[in-house]
Amino acid sequence: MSDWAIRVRELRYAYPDGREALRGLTLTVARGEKVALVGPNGAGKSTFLLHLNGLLRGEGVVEVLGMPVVEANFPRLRAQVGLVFQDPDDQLFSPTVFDDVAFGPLHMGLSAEEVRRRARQALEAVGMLHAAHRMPHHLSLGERKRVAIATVLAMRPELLLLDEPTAGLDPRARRSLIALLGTLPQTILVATHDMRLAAALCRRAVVMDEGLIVADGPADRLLTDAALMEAHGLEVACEC
Amino acid sequence: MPEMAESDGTSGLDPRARLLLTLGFIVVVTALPDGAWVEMALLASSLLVVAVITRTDWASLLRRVALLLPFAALAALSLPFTTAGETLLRVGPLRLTDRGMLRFAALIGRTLLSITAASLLVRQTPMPQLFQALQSLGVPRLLVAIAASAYRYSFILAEEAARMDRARRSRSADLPCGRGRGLRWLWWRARGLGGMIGMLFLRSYERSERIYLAMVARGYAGTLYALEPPAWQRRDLYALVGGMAGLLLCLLMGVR
Ligand SMILES: Nc1ncnc2c1ncn2[C@@H]1O[C@H](COP(=O)(O)OP(=O)(O)OP(=O)(O)O)[C@@H](O)[C@H]1O
Ligand SMILES: [Mg+2]
Repeated sequence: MSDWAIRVRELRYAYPDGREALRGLTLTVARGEKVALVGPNGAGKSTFLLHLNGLLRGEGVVEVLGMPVVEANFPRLRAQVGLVFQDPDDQLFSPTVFDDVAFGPLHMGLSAEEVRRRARQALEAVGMLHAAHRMPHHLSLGERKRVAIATVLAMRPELLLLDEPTAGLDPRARRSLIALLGTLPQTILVATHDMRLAAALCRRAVVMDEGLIVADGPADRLLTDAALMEAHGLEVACEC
Repeated sequence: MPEMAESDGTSGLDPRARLLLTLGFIVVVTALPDGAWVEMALLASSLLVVAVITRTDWASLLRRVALLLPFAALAALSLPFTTAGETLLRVGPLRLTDRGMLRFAALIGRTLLSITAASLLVRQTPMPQLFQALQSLGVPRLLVAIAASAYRYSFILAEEAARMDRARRSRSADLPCGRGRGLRWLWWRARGLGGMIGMLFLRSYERSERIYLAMVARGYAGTLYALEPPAWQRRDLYALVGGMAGLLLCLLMGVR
């Protein structure tokens, strides 16, 4: 078993309309690491995350949890890599919140009893158990966001990819999410503009701009480097 | 936009029993011969009982039924004139017959009862539970999945439209042609609307693609799985058998 959770070499990707979103990105993340991926709008963060479970395929080498990201590995890969989309409306598609959270475990082939247990636990963890039988599209944005996170937690993936998990959350939900993520033993890669989330959760930060990694190092040093942050449209993590 | 169930439906009769009873009700109503007024009245009062037990909001139920009635009346409008029988009234070349009137009235009665029964079901049972009931009653999984996503996507479409409309209105305080509501204003609105509809479909299409990706990301590979529904309770079985027996009795009385 390899020690790398993520190993990406020279990854390039252009959208069908010709827009080059990734231009030779190289990054390795060790197992168990929690890494913040920061960068301005349009830097390519979301695009990059979509490559890590094979939803987008670019040129270059992508290895996740010791497996090359190729068709043959998709079933195993998708059970072990949990991706929370930036927009919860893209993530929630079932008639009820409970069904949505149960969808992942169910398609992993777990027993009905285990599926129910995991769904309940995941909803409990994000404080949404009370809404289990509501319809996702009737929830507020922050509530949907929390349910979206639960859908992935229920799969107990080894690698968690979170795209802007705190956007739209109220301060209390945000704090409890940060606390929850902190207790998880999994490898986490979190794309965010929330500098306080990055500082509180991650030891390591990676700055991305224009489809490339432009800085990589300890979060406390990078995120307080005013010149670096300024240069890439970010701000320093303040008042923490 | 699809109608919402009033209750959360976690208590009460099993959705499968509700669905079967509603279907049975509609079959019986349709099979009753013209002029079986007593039986129709019986069926109507059974609906009344259900509505009272479930504390249905009468006003909105009736409003919904009234909304659909004109369509039924329109479809049945030719019946009084095309059915052979004793002439009651001549309107130009048309002859209104007694048998025709009877058939017309019976059809309106049937429609009213069926629509009311179906509305009661939909009001009192959340859609997700109805879909699950369909599936566990043996309707092919794919068919149910298509119906369920059509339902889900209707919200997405409506939400997307509402969002775009809000965005447009919040930015169009100034009409280019002043306050007048002349032809130019209409043309300007129509052009805006056309663009919006095109945009709406594009946005919804892209969103549906992203939702598909989300399903794939969580292990979907072409087959949908579902949790088995809870086992039948004795109480629900009794209600189902009793209700069906009542319906059958009603039918037998009518055709006799
Ligand atoms: N479906 C698409 N088709 C074409 N271009 C796209 C598409 N999605 C994203 N892009 C482009 O790719 C680039 C990277 O986008 P991406 O969404 O990965 O950025 P991001 O870093 O996640 O930004 P944000 O912080 O705003 O979420 C952007 O320039 C964007 O315009
Ligand atoms: Mg993004």
